[in-house]
Amino acid sequence: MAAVSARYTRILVDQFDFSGDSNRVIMAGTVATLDTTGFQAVTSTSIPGNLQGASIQHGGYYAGADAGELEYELKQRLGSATPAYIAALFGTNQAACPAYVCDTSWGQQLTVDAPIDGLITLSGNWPAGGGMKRGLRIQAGASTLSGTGGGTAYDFGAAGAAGGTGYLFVQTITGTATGATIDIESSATEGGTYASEGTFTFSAVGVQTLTMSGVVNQWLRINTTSLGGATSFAVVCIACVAGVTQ
Amino acid sequence: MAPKKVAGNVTVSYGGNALTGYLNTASMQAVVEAIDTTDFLDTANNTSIPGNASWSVNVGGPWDVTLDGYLGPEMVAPGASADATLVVGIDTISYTWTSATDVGAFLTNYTIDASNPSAGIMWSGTIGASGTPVRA
Repeated sequence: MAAVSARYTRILVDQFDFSGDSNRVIMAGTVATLDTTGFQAVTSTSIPGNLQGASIQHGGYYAGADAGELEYELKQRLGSATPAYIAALFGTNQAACPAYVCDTSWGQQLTVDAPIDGLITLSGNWPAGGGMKRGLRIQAGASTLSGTGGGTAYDFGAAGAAGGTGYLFVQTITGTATGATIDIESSATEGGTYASEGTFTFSAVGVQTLTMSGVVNQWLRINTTSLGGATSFAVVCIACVAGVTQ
Repeated sequence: MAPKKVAGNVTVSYGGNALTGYLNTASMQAVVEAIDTTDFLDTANNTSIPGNASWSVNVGGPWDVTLDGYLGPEMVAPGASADATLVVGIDTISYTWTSATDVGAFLTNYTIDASNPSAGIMWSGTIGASGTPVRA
């Protein structure tokens, strides 16, 4: 029987992991139906159009007014032109769980509910302004990186031929990072030779993106190539391979 | 004639992947458009004739990573045509849209719902069917 507990869900809002303050995450998207029915047809025919209205709905608990708390960060992004990156990860009991990323998002809604006999709760909606991407998690934030070298490789099931997108959610940095670099690498086999598909370069918390092009092999991993002077950092990396995960 | 229960008697296959093990609800609809033919002489009742039929299948149930691998990629990167074969089995009969010109199916809606940390992750979707199914 297929079933996954909802406790294995994570919600990332830029560098913030609000999983502990959240109790509702809904990812939804609708593909347009384009009617192709012609004369003489007795049954309607159609083809798929674009993905429309994709979004991540998000709700949780009010836990304080400070920066870094859910209410503050929702308000900061409400209607903001500064791109936000929102990731919903489902089935996080698996290392390479699926992740949906609202690329170039913004806060579309902020609702504060205050029932007389309940908790103060918050809800918001994140539209996928730059499109919804689907990838697999290849690095979890719980595993702090404190040295250079390749991480665990994950099987994507197939190679892609048309590149893809990588997202790096830099959540914490211990010490000071100046030009720290992490690559996404791919290989045809788990124990084979890994080649770089692109490099994230960062000096602060936040979200970095990279574009992969051409062939992306079946096994992917991150490779920390420079700590940039930092002692360690915690990152979540999501790799989206065209024709494979999306 | 004995009524048939759902469990064990309903199957859905989409794009060659069995969805049955991820379902706790399924609803297949055929809606024939009613073309209004009422005119000024119809003084008591409106009149109509049948137009085209449109088919769709609403599905949902417990979410799983394997299921997401079937549906998620198609949602974020829709194809250019209704090119998936859809088979809905009901007891001893089946409705089949075999992928061909103007016939086939595609995902039109997909939702993953993790709205209670103490419950399971659920999903729902709508599969739009293009063309006439074969009932066998």
